[in-house]
Amino acid sequence: MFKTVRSKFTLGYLSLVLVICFLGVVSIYTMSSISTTIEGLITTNYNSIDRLAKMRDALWNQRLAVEEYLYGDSVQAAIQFEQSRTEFTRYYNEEEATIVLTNEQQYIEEIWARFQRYVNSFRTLTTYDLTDPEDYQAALDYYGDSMGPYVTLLENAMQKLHDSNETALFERRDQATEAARTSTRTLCILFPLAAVLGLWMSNIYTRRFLAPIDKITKQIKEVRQGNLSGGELVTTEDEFGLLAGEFQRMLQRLSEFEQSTLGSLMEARNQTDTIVRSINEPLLVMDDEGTVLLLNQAMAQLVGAEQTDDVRSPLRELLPQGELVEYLAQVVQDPSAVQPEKIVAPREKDNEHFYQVAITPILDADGVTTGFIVLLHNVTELKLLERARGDFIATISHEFKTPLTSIFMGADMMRSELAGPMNRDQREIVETICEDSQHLENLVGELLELSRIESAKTIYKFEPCSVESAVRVSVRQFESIAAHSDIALTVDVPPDLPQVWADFSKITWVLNNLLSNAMKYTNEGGSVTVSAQLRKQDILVSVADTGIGVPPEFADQIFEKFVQVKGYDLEVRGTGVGLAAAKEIITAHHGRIWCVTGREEGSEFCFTLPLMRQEENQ
Amino acid sequence: MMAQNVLIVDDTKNIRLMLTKCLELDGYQVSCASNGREGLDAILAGQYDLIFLDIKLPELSGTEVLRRMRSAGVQTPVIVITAYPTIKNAVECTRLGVVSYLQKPFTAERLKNLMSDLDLEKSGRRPPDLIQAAEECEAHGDLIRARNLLNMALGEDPGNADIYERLAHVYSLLGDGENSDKYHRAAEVFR
Repeated sequence: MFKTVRSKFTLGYLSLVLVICFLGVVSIYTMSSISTTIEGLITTNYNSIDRLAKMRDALWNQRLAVEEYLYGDSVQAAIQFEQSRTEFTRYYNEEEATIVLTNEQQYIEEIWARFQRYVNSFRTLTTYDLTDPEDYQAALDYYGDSMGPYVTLLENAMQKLHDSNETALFERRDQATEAARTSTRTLCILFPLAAVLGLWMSNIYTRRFLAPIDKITKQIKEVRQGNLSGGELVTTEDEFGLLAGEFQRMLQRLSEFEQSTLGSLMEARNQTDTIVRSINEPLLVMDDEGTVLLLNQAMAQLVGAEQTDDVRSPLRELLPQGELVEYLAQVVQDPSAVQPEKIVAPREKDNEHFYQVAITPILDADGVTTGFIVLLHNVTELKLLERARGDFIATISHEFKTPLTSIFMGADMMRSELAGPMNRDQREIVETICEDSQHLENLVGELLELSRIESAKTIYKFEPCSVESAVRVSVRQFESIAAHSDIALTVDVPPDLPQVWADFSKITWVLNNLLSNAMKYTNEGGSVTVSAQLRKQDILVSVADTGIGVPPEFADQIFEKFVQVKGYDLEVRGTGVGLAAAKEIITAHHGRIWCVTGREEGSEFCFTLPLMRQEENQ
Repeated sequence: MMAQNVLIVDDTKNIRLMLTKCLELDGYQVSCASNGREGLDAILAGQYDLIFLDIKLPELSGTEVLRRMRSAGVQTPVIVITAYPTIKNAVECTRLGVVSYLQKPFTAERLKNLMSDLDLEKSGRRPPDLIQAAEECEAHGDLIRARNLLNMALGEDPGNADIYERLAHVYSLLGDGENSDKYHRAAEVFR
């Protein structure tokens, strides 16, 4: 019947309303009974007494009329007597109509009988002739002997009725007082009882209402702790029951979903594991805080780890000291530090094994990096080959120097004709030998510089450097050559440039190289300008000349080693090695170097050097 | 003026030949040795005014020859020739009192300039000439000689900021940051 929460609430309130109604009825009843008693008191007894008083007055007037009749104006007295008799009768009739009790009936009948006798006695009196003295005397006697006792009797009867009424009045007054007292007592008891009853009922109903909510709350708590099967079920058929039912169905769906996703997740994980295991190259998976989660057998062998599954140990604990762990730690700190073709030696003091590191960030749905997949590719052989090539170039270059010296000296001596005069042809031949020997020397120098830079990548001596002083030092070396070749060498470097984090001698070497190229390919009367400017995050240094320029299609290639410019009737700038070395140096400084294209005249080479970051300043 | 005696210690036949020709054409008396031991024997036996010494030598290295002849009390000026210049070796040779560190490859003209510089050193020179000579030496990688020439120039003109700056540069190229800074600061003072 009371299934819904709404009806339950209504029931609760209804019971309270009933209690209030009961109290109201009791109060109204008591109040009305008291008021009835008081009303009876007034209407019956008090009115009777009042009428009796009025009857007494009328009787008194009759007696006065009788005396008047005897001693004064008889006619007037008779009229007055009659009037008073009528008045008495009227009050009597009223009184008689209200009489209920038997004894009062008796009294009232007695009054009427006595009154009739009295009236009749007056009639008898009127039969005497008052003008006759004897008769008058007889009338007086009659009056004194007969009428007097009649009045006394009548008054006695009236007094009885008066007394009876008075007694009833007091009785009823006592009754009313008693009724008021009783109702006060009753209400005094009933009100606390009703209050307690109300409190008790509201308590019971509240508890009954809230019981399902408590159950659901408990169930939600359990679900939160992972118990999807839920706790005690709410079985009421009200709204809470419905809510609990829906909640139960939701739990069921959740648990189904959990089981199904868990299944596919396990499957996916097994697949991943198999993939990882089947890869022969060392592979490692780590999270975004550098905790290694997974590694395959090859990686375990490489780093000397025993466990491959569910490793969960920090990078530095798992991997041996060396370039690899440093690089990975750096990437974890700053994912933008990933270098596409980074080659590392995984172990310290091991120059026999080299791996190329490919790091792929794992992104979540929002594109946030949550981890990294690190795949190593063994490039030891390549690296050793490259090293052998580098060593070979360095050795050959050194070995070139000695025969080159002989050629230089021989050609020089011949040119200066110390060993005898030469004809024109001979001189031309010797000049060519001298020129190409010079070319060969430059080539050897640049090859050596390049191999030195390549083999000693880490030997940069970084310190706060002033670009201005690097330009000054570099330009000074070319001042005399510029003056000699009539080339205007101008410097446009603001003196207040901030310092850069760089290797001063390497930067000077790059500037020297660019300047030497510029001087070499600028004709007499041309100009070479070195300028620097502060940009947002770096300083841009530019070496511009009015020389022969660089064909735009070679602007990029020119920085590659041993580039050959085929099909061009232009002398290739430098040997292509100096610029390659310059690029190595600038890249190691996290800067950029390029050849400006689209110039009308001459060429312009620019490079940037990043400004010192805050932490380097401190 | 009497012809000066010059000894060439080099294992490469053609270098010996060319150097000999070049120096003889300039009027020097030239003797040769083809390895370290021969060279040291010749130095200890004969009286030479100048010695050309290759660093990379069979039997006994040029540096060793230099060390032994100095410890034997021979103070003859030495010009070191090398195809493998290293800072470490250059510093060591400087300590053993070489007058120049001549890097291969070099031309006859450069050799002649060097010889005349050596002659001029004896007679004293003006700072601008010394600076120019130092500049040439630096361009040819003979940093030691460049340093020597600049120091000489400084002796003549000690208030010249330009010389200090050039010295700072040469020291920085030599890898001696400390001295480089020192001269750089001095240059700032005199500027």
